[in-house]
Amino acid sequence: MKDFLTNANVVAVILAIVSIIETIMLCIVEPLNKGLIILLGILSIVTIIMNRFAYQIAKHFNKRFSLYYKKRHDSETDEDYEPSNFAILRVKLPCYGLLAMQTVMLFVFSIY
Amino acid sequence: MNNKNIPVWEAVVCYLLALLAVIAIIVSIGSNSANIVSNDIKSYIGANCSVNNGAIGTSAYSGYTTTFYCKSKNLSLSDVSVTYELESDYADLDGRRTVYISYLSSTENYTVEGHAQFNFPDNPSDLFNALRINVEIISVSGNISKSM
Repeated sequence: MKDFLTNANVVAVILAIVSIIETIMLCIVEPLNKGLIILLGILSIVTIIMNRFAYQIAKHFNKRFSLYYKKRHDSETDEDYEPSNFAILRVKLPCYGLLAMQTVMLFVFSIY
Repeated sequence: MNNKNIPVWEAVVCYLLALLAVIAIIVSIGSNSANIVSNDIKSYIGANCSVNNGAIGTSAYSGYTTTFYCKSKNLSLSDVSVTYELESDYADLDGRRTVYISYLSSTENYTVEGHAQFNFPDNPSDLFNALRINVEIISVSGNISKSM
């Protein structure tokens, strides 16, 4: 059960479903800025995908920046580019930020 | 922990976010179906209302009928009931009077149109062009969503 609940795919699917429903509800309660709300929804889905592949993205950027900044980049292994927890979290943060923003917007538009 | 599993604290954060989102969705469903009665929107609509025809309207047995419509960028109106007041600054007609709304519909999201019927003692057809009408929604009930 714990393995299932902490599975990255499961979490990503749950967050995506919630985000889509939130976008639909935002369109209903706030019909005047539909374009902006749909854009926010699309961005949210993109960041959820980034959240799912945060490790790979962080590793890719580590590698890319290493190639830019290292004088020697002749390493044969991928281990040199292992991202830190902070690097992974930095990729994940926009997802949590956007989801929180959608939730706050839905609360605000529903109440006022 | 393998590559496909996220740390427990992160999973907890995700599920908390999802829970908050579900609560927000439930709140929004609840608020969207509830009736809202609001008076503070009359200035928004009053400013955008106008009489459809140049003169006040056409003569009818019990008074005069006029067609008007209201537009608002700040309000979405659907299935609403509206009360109007007509205002005039012409001689005896000076002041405000409440009119009877015989017809009201919402043709598009932000437009309310209707016929207003009001009674005068005589037939002051020559006064109509001088008469200024402000149509104001002074109370609204129904399903309303208001922009911030």
